[in-house]
Amino acid sequence: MSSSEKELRRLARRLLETEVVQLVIGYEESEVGVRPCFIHKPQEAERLVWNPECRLNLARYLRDLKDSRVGVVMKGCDGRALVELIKENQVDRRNVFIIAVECNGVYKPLKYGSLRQERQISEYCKRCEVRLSPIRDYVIRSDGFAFNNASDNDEKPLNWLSIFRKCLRCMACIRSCPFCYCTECSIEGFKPALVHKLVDTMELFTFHLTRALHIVGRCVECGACESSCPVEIPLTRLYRELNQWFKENYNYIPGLSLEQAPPPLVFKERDRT
Amino acid sequence: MMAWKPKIIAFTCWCSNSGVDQAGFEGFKYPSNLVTLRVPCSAIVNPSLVIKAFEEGADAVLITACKPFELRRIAPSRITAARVSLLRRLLKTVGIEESRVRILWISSNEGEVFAKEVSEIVGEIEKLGPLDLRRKMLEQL
Amino acid sequence: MTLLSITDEKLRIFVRELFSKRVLFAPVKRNGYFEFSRLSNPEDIILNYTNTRLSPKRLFLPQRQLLFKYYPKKGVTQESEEHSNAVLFGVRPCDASALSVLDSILLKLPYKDNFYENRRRETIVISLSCIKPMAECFCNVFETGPIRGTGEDLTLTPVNKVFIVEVRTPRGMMIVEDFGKLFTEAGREILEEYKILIREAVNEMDRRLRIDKKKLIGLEKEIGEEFFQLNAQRCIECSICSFTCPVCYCFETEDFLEGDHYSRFRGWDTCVHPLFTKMASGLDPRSTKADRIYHRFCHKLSRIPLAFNTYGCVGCGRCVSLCPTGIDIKEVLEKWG
Repeated sequence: MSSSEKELRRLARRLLETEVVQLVIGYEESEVGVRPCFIHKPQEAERLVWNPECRLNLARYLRDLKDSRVGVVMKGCDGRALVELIKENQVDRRNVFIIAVECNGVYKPLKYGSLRQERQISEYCKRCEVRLSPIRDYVIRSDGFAFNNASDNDEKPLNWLSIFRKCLRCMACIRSCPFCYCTECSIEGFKPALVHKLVDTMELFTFHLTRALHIVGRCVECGACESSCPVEIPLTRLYRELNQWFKENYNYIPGLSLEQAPPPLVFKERDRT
Repeated sequence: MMAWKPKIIAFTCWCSNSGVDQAGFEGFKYPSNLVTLRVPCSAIVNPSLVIKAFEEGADAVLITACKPFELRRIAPSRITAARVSLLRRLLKTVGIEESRVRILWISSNEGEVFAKEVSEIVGEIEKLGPLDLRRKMLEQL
Repeated sequence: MTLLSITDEKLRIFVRELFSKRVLFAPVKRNGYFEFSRLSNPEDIILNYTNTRLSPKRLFLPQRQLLFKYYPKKGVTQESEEHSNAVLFGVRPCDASALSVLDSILLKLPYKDNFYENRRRETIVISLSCIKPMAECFCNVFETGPIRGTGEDLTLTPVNKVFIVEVRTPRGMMIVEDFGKLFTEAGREILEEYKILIREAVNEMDRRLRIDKKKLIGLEKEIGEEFFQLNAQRCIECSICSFTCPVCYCFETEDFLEGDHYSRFRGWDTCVHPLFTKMASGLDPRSTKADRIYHRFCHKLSRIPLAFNTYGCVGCGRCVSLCPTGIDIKEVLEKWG
């Protein structure tokens, strides 16, 4: 057990004992790998772990827990997502105790029947520049490996149309995304029926492009969608491309500060487009 | 076999639609493979609808809008421009030529300009060739 | 039980012969994982694979399937599509058993699924035993592996560069007779080795999880409420578990206007989706996530056995491995079994 893990458990225990929070959300080890866990009692804090398998974005769960005081373990990207959610009035900052854990990148999941056998660091983590959550109440430093930075030229252009084709439309990308909280999702809705309930190969094009348009400028490239995708569609790459457009035009990188308002919500006469 | 003609969907805003009408009244010729859909304002065109148009077989999508500084509000034209710019980037990323999404700034009295510009656009799309998204999506990996 | 053997090279010939005569579905490498696909080249076939990411269910129950077309004047027209002479080669015993589970559910009279039957009836299933089971698997619980399943015509087991062929059905016998030259009687030494391999694989599985599957039936009343609440908090309501499951067969139909006619399609649906049981009146018998997860497990482990005398789970471990939030059916089995 690493020192950061020990510190995390001690902190979670303290928070629950002193009733600063009612619930701590973190990651636990199970037979099937690391998964999110919800800890209500101080003695259960021993279940918490911290390692590069902690993939899912926990900011996703905070939207549903608006009324309780929650302590939450956050990586850099989770924290960025939370910043955006707070700006969009989905989460109340006062109810959240953020345990920011320094992140050294997460591994790509080794899923059922994959050809790959060795653990690799995820593509999106190689490009990440925010290792620590921008908003935090407590910081846990971790002693991990260094970042391996990817260069732009090892990116082969992808044939996106044939990649979309293998999509099952299981909605895991939508459901694991912290930003997809619309009660009436435009993709699942009927007015207009952009995409029907039955999966049609042509509609996968509309599905993925619409989803990309809906989270551009908000996506923090946490990779939750990519890591939960059962057919390994590299969605983060698509979203990053659009975020670059956003950065070029509005000089805005999502999730870095609570003060900077998202450009689509404000009107500036000097905006370029 | 019939010669291929591009299918172009045009979302025309209320004002610029009068421009399109004017082109008709005054007998300016413009290609017939343009389907115009009148919308209340160019900023109401959901980008998803543009994507849906491509999915349904359009070769290009044209949005006509009021000129930014002729309109008494600035926001709508700017929103349209931003959306088109974003759409172009998105289409370029997934491997579709970005010039298939077009925007035309047309006032309600510019029938002649509209006819001229549209002929040019149709010519360009003809040069690009069919989009054939169905084949690209369904072809074997 | 007839045991034959076939060498590696002759198996390749066997595959080529099958390919020339029938439509061959076999595992191939694609997009970073293994996948069942219609072979266009018999050399692409992979036999030392773990398992396919997506289950072979999609070959028999496609994700989108045309049921009929309706013309305003002509009325209903139905086009039957059959690939009657298909071979499913190299499927794992758990997935082969899943087909027999689907058979007993979908082909049960009086409500027979003709579309499924068209695709399934003449299909020959040739399975490949798991000598080294994957970490996620628990097929021993439902007796669907690791060596023999329940739905296959022939079972191949790799033993030391030779494949032991076990003939399971009369149809399997017919194929063996068709290709009589390729198969030989298995020698005594190889049979000894084969028996050792079987015992090892079975022991390996039993070490992991050993429960009595009969105890699962009728356990609805004794649920651990808290357990499902915990898992429901975690669940994100994607449908990976049902879409990748080789047994899940729930479907939905939808009509589409296509030019001058309507077409009715059916496709996969999933019971973990919040809209699955939501009715037009707004009533929802399974309104919470916990209800839906509980229903999914209960349906597989208790209600299908009561109604169809077979289990709705074959222990392939796909839902366990692919679930983004680590909801584990094995925990349910341990709790109930």
